[in-house]
Amino acid sequence: MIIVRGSRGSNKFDWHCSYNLRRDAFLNSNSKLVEDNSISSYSFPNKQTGFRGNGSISISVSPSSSTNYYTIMYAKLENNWTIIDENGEFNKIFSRNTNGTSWSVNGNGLTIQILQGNVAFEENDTWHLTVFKSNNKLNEINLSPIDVTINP
Amino acid sequence: MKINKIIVGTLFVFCCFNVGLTQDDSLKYWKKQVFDTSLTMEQRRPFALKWRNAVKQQGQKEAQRIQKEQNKIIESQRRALDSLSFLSAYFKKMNDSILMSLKAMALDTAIQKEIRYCSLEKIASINTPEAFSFLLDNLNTITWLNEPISGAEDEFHGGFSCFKLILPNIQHNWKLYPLINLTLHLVKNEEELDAIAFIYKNITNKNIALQAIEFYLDQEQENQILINNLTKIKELINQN
Repeated sequence: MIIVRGSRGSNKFDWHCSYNLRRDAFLNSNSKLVEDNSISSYSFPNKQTGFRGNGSISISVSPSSSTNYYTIMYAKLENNWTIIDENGEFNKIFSRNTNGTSWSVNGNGLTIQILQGNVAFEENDTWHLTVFKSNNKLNEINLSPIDVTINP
Repeated sequence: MKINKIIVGTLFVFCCFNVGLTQDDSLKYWKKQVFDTSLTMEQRRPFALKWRNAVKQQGQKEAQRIQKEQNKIIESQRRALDSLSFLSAYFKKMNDSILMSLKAMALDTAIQKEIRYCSLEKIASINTPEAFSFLLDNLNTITWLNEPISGAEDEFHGGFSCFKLILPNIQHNWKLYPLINLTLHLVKNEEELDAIAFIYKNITNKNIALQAIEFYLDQEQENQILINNLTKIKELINQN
C-alpha cells in the first residue's frame, strides 16, 4: 500500500508511507495478502478468466529481478509455454521435460516451473505475473513524494 | 433482382468465413513464430506481443460473458425478492416467514453480495419492529455489501450496509428508542455504538436523545451491559 503525496493528514508537505503487500499462493480459490519485505518479490500469478487446465506453477525470484509484468501462455499444438514481459523485449520458450507434462524456464532473474495436474492445459491458458523490486518495503515513512511506477 | 441478392448473400457469407479463417490463421502463424527456436528474441517479439494481445482480448470477452450471465442471475433473483416483499404487504400472516427467508439470505455469505444487499433493502422496506431490530443487531456482521464511491462518509455507508438502510426510516420515529435499547442488552463494539449514537441523535435531536438516555438510565438498575452501552452512547452524543 502506498499513499502518494499527503492526503487528509497534511495539506502542506509532500509525504509518503509505504507498506508493501503481495498476493500469496492460492488455497481453495482464496489468497491472502502477506507482508512483502524482499528486495525483489512477486505476487502469485493470476489465472486468466477461461483458464481450463489444472496444474501448478512455482516461481523463485532473485534480487536482480526488476519490476516487470509477465504473461505466460500455453500453445496446445506445440505443447509448450512461452513467457513474455510487458514490452516483449524478454520472451522465452519453456524447456519441456521428456514426460511432456512439466515445463521450466530461467531468465530475468526468474525461475519458473509448471506441472500439469489431472486436467491437461488447453490452448491459450494464461497466467499473469507481476514482479516488484524496491528497497524499504515495510513501514517506510518519509517526507517527499514517491513515484511508484519506477524502481525506487 | 433475385440473382443480385443471391450474389450479395454469397459474398457476405464468403467474407465472414474468410475473416474467421484469417484471424485463426494469424494466431497459428504467430504461435509458430514464437516457438521457432531459430529466431532471436527480438525477431520473436512482435509475434509474441500479437499473441498476448489476442489472448488478453479473449480473456476480456470471456470475463464480460461471465459477468453478463451473473447479472442475469442477479436480476432474476432480484425480481423474485421484489415479488416476495410485495406479497408481504398484503398477507400479514406471511410476513414472519418472508422476513425469515430474507434474513437468511442477507446472512448467507455464500450468496452474491448484490443479492444479499437486495435482501437487506427488502427487509428495510418491510419496516416492522422485527425488521428494524434485525438491521440493528447486524450492524457489524453484515458489512461491505456495496462498494463505497469516495470519501470518508461514503466509506462508512458502504461498509455498514444495515446502517445505511436504517437511516431513511429514523426521523421522528420515537418507537425506535425501545427497540434500540433491546439491542443494547448485548455487548457492542465502538463502531456499533458510534452508529447507534448517530441513530439515537437523529431520531429527533441531541437534547431529546440525551433526555431519552437519562430516562432509560434512571429506569435501569440491573443490566450492567445496557447501562454501559447507554453511558457510552451518551458520551458519544455529547462529543458531537
